[in-house]
Amino acid sequence: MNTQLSFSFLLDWYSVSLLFQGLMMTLILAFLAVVLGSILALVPAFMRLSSNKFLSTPATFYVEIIRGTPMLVQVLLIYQLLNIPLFLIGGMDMGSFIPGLVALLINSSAYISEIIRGGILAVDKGQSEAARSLGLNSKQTMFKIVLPQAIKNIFPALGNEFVTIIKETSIFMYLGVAELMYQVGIIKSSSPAVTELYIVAGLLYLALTFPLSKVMNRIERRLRYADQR
Amino acid sequence: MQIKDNNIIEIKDLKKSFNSETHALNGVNLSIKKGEVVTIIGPSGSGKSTLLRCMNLMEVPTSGEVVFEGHLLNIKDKNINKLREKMGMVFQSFNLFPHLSVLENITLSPKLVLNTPEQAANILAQSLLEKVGLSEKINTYPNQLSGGQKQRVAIARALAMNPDVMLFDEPTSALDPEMVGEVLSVMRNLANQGMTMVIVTHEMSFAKEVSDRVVFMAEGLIVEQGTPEVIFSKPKEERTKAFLKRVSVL
Repeated sequence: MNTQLSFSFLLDWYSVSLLFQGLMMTLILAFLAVVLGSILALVPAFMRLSSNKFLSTPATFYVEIIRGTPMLVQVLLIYQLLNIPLFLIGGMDMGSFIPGLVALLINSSAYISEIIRGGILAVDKGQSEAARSLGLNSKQTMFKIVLPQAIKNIFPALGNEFVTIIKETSIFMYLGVAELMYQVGIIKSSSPAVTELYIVAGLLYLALTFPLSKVMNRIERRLRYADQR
Repeated sequence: MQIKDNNIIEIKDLKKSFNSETHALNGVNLSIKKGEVVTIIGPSGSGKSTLLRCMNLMEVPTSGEVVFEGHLLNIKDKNINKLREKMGMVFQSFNLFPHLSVLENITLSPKLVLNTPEQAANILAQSLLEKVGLSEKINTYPNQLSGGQKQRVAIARALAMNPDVMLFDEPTSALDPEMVGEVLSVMRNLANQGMTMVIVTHEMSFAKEVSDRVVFMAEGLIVEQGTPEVIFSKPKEERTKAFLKRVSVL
């Protein structure tokens, strides 16, 4: 092992700007995956909660298939299936960005749907019984009574999912999406300091995920406190 | 459907099984008259809570009929929400909504289901809280209340829908002994005001004092029923005698 580490590439403006751009792309991807993924996730979540087998069975299949296969396979498969030709928007190649985002959304929505479903199931059954006994219909019960309480279970787990997705976006280097690991690859080709580059990449991921989990912990504590009002 | 005018609830050959082996109810017939206070007693596992929960279809019967104010209850019927409004229910574990204040707990269903204007709902909540002796708690949250206070709010919440009958499912079983009295006294007032009430309880002295009729259940069947004097002083059935002997020892 080469014991002499050299971080001189950090003094090179071009390398730093590439890393920064990569970091931004990673954040954008992860953010879109969590926000859009959460909205999309409502569909399989409610389908699985349904007592109607024609709704719950396909949703169960969907979730199990996505959770049971590697994300790399999903990403490459969707890239292959969509087969969008190269075109640029704002300097980004949509031919790889769109399939990447679609794959990420499919993946995150499956995981998040399980978080939502678990959060809803964790709300005491007595809550919906009380609501129904007061004459509320099932929709009113869900939106006025169950979901507001389920949010407290869902939110912290969603933060963890955000952290996971930030790390998983590194897979997109295989598509040529210019996220952090892709940029690391570019710098690597013109710099001998490969070890140092990977260390910096790791630290940059940590710089995103560590504060994020701290913030999530704080929000989680506050939600728990609010429940003890 | 023939129903006698003064029967508010009529239960015919009600059966409920949770799976093929456990039968909670084995064919129960019972009618509740308007203005009547009926308590259901019996050993645990006798099906008394299940029977009560079948009355507003919280539990869907396996077979048999529940007729409420002349309407045959059916869980698939859209009408079921309208009918449930008229049957207030009080639970053993209170089931107040923890994310809503006491006021909001009470006004939620009148506003949402009956479209009562905000101000009218607030006035209603105020008067109901007065009735249960908790006016000063109007803006607090359930977790700041004691068990007895929670249950009194739950009673006020059920009354806010102006029900024709109140169903009580072991309303004092989850309470510390010193809080049982305050809940029973609210229920006693309600009974004195002529509310139709069906109460599943372990409070024998309360049952004796407040009921027009006591129903003794065992193994998913009604074993014996009658006035409190008859049931508590001269029960006919061996199982009733054995049960009353056991609870009086405690």
